[in-house]
Amino acid sequence: MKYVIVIVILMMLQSGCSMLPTGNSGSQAGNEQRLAVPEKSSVKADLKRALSAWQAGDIEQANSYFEKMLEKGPRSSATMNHYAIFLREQWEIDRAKAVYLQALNMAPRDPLTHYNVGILYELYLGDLKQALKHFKAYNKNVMEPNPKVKGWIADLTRRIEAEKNG
Amino acid sequence: MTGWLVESTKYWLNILKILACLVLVVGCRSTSNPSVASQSNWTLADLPNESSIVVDESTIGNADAGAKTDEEESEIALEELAAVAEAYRSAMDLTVDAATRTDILQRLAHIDLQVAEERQLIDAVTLPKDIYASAIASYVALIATTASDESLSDMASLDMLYPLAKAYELSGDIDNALVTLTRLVDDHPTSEHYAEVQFRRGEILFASKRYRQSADAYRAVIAHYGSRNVGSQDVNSMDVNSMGVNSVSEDSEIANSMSKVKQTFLLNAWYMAGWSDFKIGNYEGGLSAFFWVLDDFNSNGSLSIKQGFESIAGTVSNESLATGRLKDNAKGAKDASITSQQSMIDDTFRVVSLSFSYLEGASSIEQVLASNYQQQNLPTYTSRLYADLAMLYLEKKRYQDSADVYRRYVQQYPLDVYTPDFHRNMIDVYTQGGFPEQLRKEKETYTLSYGAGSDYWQQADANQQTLILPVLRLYLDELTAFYHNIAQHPAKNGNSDEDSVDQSNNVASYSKSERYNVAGDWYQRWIDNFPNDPELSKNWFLLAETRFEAEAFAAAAQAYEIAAYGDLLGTSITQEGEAVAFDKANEAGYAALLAYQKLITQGENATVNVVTNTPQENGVVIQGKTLEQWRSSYTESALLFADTFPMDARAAQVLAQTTESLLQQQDYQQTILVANKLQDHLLVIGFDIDRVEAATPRLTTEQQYWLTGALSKAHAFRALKEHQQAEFAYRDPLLFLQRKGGSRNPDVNVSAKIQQYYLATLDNYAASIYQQGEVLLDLDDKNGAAMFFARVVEAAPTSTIRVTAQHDAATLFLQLEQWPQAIALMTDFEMRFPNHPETVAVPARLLLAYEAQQDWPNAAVRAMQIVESDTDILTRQQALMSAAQFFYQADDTNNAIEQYRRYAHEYPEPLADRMEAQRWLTELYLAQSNSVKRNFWLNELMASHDSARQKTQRSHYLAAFAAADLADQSMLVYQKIRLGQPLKTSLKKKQNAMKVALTRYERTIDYGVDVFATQATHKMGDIYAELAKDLLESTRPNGLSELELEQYEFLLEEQAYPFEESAIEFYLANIERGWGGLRTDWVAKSHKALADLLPGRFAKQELRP
Repeated sequence: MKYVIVIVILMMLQSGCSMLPTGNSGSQAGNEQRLAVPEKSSVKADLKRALSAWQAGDIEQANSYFEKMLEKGPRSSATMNHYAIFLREQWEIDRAKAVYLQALNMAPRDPLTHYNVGILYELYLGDLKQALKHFKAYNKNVMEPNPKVKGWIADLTRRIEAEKNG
Repeated sequence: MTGWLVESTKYWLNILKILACLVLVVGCRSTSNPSVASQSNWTLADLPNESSIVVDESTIGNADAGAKTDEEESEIALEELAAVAEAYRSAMDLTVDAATRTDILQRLAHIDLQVAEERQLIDAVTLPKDIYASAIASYVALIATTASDESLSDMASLDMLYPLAKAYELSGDIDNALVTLTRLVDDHPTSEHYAEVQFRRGEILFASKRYRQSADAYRAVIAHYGSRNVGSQDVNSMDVNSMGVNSVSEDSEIANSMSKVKQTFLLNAWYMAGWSDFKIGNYEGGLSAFFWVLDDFNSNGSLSIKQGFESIAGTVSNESLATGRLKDNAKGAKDASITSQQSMIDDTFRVVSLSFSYLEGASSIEQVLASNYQQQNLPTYTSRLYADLAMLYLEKKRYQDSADVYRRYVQQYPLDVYTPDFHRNMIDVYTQGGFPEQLRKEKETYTLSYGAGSDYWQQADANQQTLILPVLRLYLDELTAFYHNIAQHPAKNGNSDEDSVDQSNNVASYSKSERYNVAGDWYQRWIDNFPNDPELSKNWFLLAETRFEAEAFAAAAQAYEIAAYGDLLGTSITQEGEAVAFDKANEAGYAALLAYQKLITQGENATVNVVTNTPQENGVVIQGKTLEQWRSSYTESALLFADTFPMDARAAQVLAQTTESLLQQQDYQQTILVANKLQDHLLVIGFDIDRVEAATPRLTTEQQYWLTGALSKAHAFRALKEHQQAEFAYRDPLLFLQRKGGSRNPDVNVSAKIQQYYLATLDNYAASIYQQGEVLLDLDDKNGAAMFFARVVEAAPTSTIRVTAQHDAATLFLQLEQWPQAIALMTDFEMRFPNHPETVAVPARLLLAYEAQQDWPNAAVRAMQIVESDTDILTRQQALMSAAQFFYQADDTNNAIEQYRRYAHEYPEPLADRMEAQRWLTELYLAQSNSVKRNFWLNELMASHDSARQKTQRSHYLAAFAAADLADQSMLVYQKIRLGQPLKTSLKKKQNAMKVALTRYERTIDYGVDVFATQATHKMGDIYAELAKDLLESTRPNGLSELELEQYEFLLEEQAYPFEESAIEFYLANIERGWGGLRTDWVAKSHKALADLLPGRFAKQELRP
């Protein structure tokens, strides 16, 4: 996964950032530079501990490690996705949403984040439009659009349309 | 005095020896050389005369010691004279010349006379007349012979008449002697023997009581010397006017110029002239002569001041007065050691006194002195004049006259050296005469006139003071005793005579205080005069007694203290050792305390407002001090008494009273000090409280004192807020009283006093412990305070304050959450004092303690106690709820159910508590698996909510809880119904059950509680999903062909589909609640259910990095 992200980033750099919205080139460049910075070993250790506790069912300990990790500064979108998924499982829906958005702020075209936050919007927040948007962004940012996601986009489009119609 | 007498006597004896020797020399010379010339030196004065100068024969004899005896010498002289006479007679025979013959005859006459004299010495048989007959005859014959011869007559007459007169007189023929002497002075007025012959005439005339003539003869002598300018004054003109001071110096010159013999004649002439005048009643004339004599003696020192003083100072004691002072003097005159000159002086004074007595007594003395002497130069023997006159009167028992003489002197010469003695003599005269009134009056006057502080005392020298003091002592002893007696027994000493001059009688009529004040004043004078007397303390004591009786308690106290302790209090006593040795010192010390008590009582009465009977402000002064000052003085005196007289039986009593008094005065520090002293004192006298046997139920005196000290000290400590000290101080007396039988429930034999002491001490002991706790409580040391309060319960369980202490201790332990102590004290309190007002609150407090200790069974019991006993309905209601809870916590389910049920039934309000009770009942019945009763209370929960006017969030919750629980039970019933053949029947039955469950879930949802609403919604979805599933899985009818079976299953799917759709709707409804923010477990479960039913849409999973 990490490897994929790196490739995507390299491709984006090679394309001359033509896909980026006008006026955001500066901040975007910053985020890309942060992404290039590897996690510190201590952060990695915290993440490892959090995932281990989570897996072991020690939710409280896992939460503690996640928070400790975040206190050390902005992390990678991958790390943030781990934490957001953890929060969603604890039915901390609003906090999970915030973490995803934070991850997107660091890596706006991260397909993984778009994928995951799209699910959150659809199933746990009932915001079909946002879900549609992020699923589309996912497909747009991956090398090859996911047919399953395409189907989800179609379903959402239909349901949104149905709501509009009554 | 005795030494002075001896010296005086020796002096006069020496004078007389000299005169005697002169006479003997003359005699011897005439004897050895019996010439007319030598014979002419012989004088008449040598004739023996009783009334004249007395020669001390023994002294004379001594002067010739070692010589021959008189008789031997006379025999030798006679032999020699006989030889001489024989020679003269032989010569006579041979002589014819008339002159020579006359001369020889004259010598023979002289020899005859001398022979006669010698014979008279050795011849006691022959009469003097016969012995001298020859000599007389010779002289008579010779005179007759010479009378005829004019050439010889004058000289011969003078030479013959003189020895003739002597011969007559020696022979006893006084008449012829006088005739001869008279002829001699008449015929020879210018003779050198004139004065001597006149003096001799005076002697003879005086002896024959021819006083007027003797006076003339004596005055002729005086005139003779005066006419010949012998002496200081012309004797003819000499009278009393010439006996002044100026004459003293002139007399001295005369004395120096006169021969001693002539001086003697002059002196004796004055003396005898005075006597002669006296004899004929010419007292003034006699006095003038006697004063000449006295002044003469005085001028040559024969009459010294010492002599006068010796005469005067003789005490007129009763004994001496009985015999008479002059009698003593007369006796003295007979004493060989008293010279004739002294005798003459004494006689002169004697006759002077007689003269004054015949005149106007002391007035005459003063007239004479005033007439003849200047006031500042009175004769030194003036005092003796008065003294002798007074003594003379006394001899004659003329007591008043005698006393008056002394008084005149005292009045005239108040500061004279002899005045105190005169005054004393006056008093003695009154004693002799039996004049008690004057006697006492004069004794008083004496003490006032000469005692300490008087003018006399101030100017007197040490010797005078030394002489006065014994008399003062005597009189003051009498006067103090007398007036003290009058003060004590006025009735016996009273006098109805209002005009009485006796002060004592007046005093008897005085008030009591006045009488004792008079007596006290005399004691004060005694003390002033004898500050170093061994009996000083005794008199201070008696002074104090009188002051006390006069109610002058301040002065009494001071005097008592001085008597008891000497000068320890600052009064001037230089020999305090004597004062302390006073045998009644302890009585005085104790009496001082009584005096102070009187003052304190007066002060207390004075400081109490008689109208309101309340104390007035301080400052009232009682006999010089305030009440506080008197109290302080009492304390000091009491301590002094105890220190000074530790073995006095009253010392302990004094200390005990002082301790109590100090405590009453709120002088607590002093109280403690004195109490300690009291206890020390009791130990010293052998009283040990630890050795007191408890057997006797009564308090001994020592025990009472000890108890007073111990309790006073404890009270003082307590008043000083030194509560720990107070506790210690109370403990000993408490233990003692317990040993004596003191108890809350005493034996009948125990005295009421002991019992009273015991109970009071017990309460004070307990209070002192309690107050230590109060102090700590003020310092916010609740733990410490609680410990002290609890200690009261242990140390003094029967004290009055025990109840309060136990209650307060328990309360503090509760506040401090020291539950075991609090529980123990309160439980005991409840048991011991069931009727105490605070006992009502004990269950609630115990409930608190048990609850805190999680002692649920006891907590429940106490709660139920409140439920059953408390008067407040609200309290009972709360207690019932607590009791149910405690029973539950104690695993006493039945009782818990019972109390919750009781609560739910009895108390509909408040709604919350009632529903909680109902909820607890559902829980408890659930534990007992009693679904029927549980469901009852589930329904009651809903009913309570439904019927409540003011529903709460909690009521909503509990109602929803109950509804959900009942719905779940219905769902279980639904789930237990299996769809079988015939399907229609079983389906019908299941659908009915489904309807019940759905209805109950709907009701649950209606209560609007999210958690139960999502639960109900989800379960409603489950009901539908289960029915769809059950239809699809229901038992197939037997005997269907494959096609029929396919058709049958198709129909089932058609039947099940709507149920599945309904399930999805309920699940979606729940999910939508989640989208709105309501996220319960039931929402998550709905998510999961939808993921199963619609996996394409709801089974989406995040991608993990």
